[in-house]
Amino acid sequence: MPFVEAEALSRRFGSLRALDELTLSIAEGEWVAVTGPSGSGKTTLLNILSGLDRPTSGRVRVGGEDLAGLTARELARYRQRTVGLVFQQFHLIPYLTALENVMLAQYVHSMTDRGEAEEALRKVGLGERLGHLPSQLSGGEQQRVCIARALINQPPLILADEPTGNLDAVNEAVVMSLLAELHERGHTLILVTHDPTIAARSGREIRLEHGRLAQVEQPGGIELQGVLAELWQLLEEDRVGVSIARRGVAELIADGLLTFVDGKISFTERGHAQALAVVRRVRLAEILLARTLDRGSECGRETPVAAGFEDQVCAFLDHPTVCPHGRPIPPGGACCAAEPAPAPETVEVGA
Amino acid sequence: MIVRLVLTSFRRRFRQLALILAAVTVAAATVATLAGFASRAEQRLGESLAAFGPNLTVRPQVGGPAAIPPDALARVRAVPGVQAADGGAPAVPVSYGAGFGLERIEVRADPGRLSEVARGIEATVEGVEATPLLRVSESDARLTQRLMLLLAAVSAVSFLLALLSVGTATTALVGERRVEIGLLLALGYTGRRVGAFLAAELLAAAVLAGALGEILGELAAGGLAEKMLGAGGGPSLTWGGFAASAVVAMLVVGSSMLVALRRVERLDAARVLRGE
Repeated sequence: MPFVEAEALSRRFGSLRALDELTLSIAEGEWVAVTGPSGSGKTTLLNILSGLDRPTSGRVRVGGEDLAGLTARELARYRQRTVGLVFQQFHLIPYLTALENVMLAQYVHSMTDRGEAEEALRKVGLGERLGHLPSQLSGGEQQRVCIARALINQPPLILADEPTGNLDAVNEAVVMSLLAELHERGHTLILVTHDPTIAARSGREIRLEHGRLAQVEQPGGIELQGVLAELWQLLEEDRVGVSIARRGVAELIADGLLTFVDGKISFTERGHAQALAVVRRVRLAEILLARTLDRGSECGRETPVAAGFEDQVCAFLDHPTVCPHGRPIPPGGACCAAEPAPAPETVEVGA
Repeated sequence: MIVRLVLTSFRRRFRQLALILAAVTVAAATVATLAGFASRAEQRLGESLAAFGPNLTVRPQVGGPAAIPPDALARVRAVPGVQAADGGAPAVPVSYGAGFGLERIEVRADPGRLSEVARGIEATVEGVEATPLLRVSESDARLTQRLMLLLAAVSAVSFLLALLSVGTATTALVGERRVEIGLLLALGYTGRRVGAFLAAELLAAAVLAGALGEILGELAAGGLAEKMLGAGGGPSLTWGGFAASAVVAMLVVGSSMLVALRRVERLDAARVLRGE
């Protein structure tokens, strides 16, 4: 049974149809990106799912609860128990500290647990900033407080409206990593975004146009990037064989990023360049998250920083040369110590 | 958490809360002045003129002797109900052997027995007429009554002005905190609970304003009573006075709170958080 289910959902503002007979379903634990042009109904959908707005017609069920039939008081209780909201503008209370802002979300249940709130802030890398006011925090730190606040009551559904819209590349990488972690922990994550690279990290993209479903697609680019990075890592390690039947390899060959010659798979020049870029973004992300969140990750498994922002992140990290696991980070064009990338190598094809 | 929210909000919204505090204090103070003055006036009028001077005049009867014999003073003092009698008026040239006759005797008598005492004096001293000074007392009562009416009118105007200014300040307060209120609603607080946060701030201001108003009002009432009614009208703070001021403060703040609560309940959190 889907966790979120909308059926012929409509929301009108006068003559404007923000949502028009929208039908969709989202499974429990799924990460869905809602994309579309401005005015397509993304935020309206999020508002209805958060219980802050009501549909004009149609049905919407979250966790088996029909939101259209709830009273204002029941909707407030639904928001307390089920929903965690992450806003583009953060919306922290300016005169409360980071810790108090998180505790404010606990207080909705008429009780607070200071230790739990401190732990939530530590998890987002703000253990040293508990007593700081929002004005003393950077945008990325404020968004991390917002995420900690959204999570403090352990809601099953996280709704994020352009959570990286006001952040630079460095903080975007940190916030996206935190959201990915939430997804891994089993939270259902619905994220509204304009940014295709952010949307590409989700498990599924729902595109809205004029309040209707335009397309539902499975982004594959991210997965193929992962394969490229893994193959690169194999080259650095013991060059064990890789099966041609491995998921993504055939697609990369078809895309002209890999070649299959004399029983060996090798990068094409274009493939080499792309793999190099992906590996650099992954390793920069590993360093960034290790430094900001004090978090270790398995080598090569971190979500890469957004394409196009790697030079900014690299400069922010003072052009590191090795990842936390000691592997070299391919230098970018902007790095002072830029060295030519190693020549393409080949990998034995396994059974 | 709630205490921290209220205290910090007090610091940050000093101007609006100062306006609310001032308006409620003025309203409570005028009502306390009215109440304090009325209470003192009632007390003084009850005592009538006895507390301040003569309330009976004894004069020779028209067509009777030209002066009152000097020994009449002692007889007048002996009449039951007479508290004091003074024949200090200039003597008239009528000799009564031992001294000159008196033009009149001024008597302070028990205010509740004025007529009885007057009859007693007329029966004791022949050829005199004892007249209670009721007209003077009634005139004072009328003056006091008019003053109280004026004070009541000032209190009503001050109450209405307080309603208006506190209502405006509260509306501004809610308007300024729309995002904060929207966020609390988004976090799952009910409109009533958010309203309770605001109410806690306003009620704290009301209690403070009520107490200040009572102190100022009693000082004003004491000063006014001293001017109008004579000495002895200093401030006398009572729990009843505090309660009256608190009621006024609560009425002013309570009505504003109702307006604030309606605004909170009608607030569209989704639009506010979008920045619209």
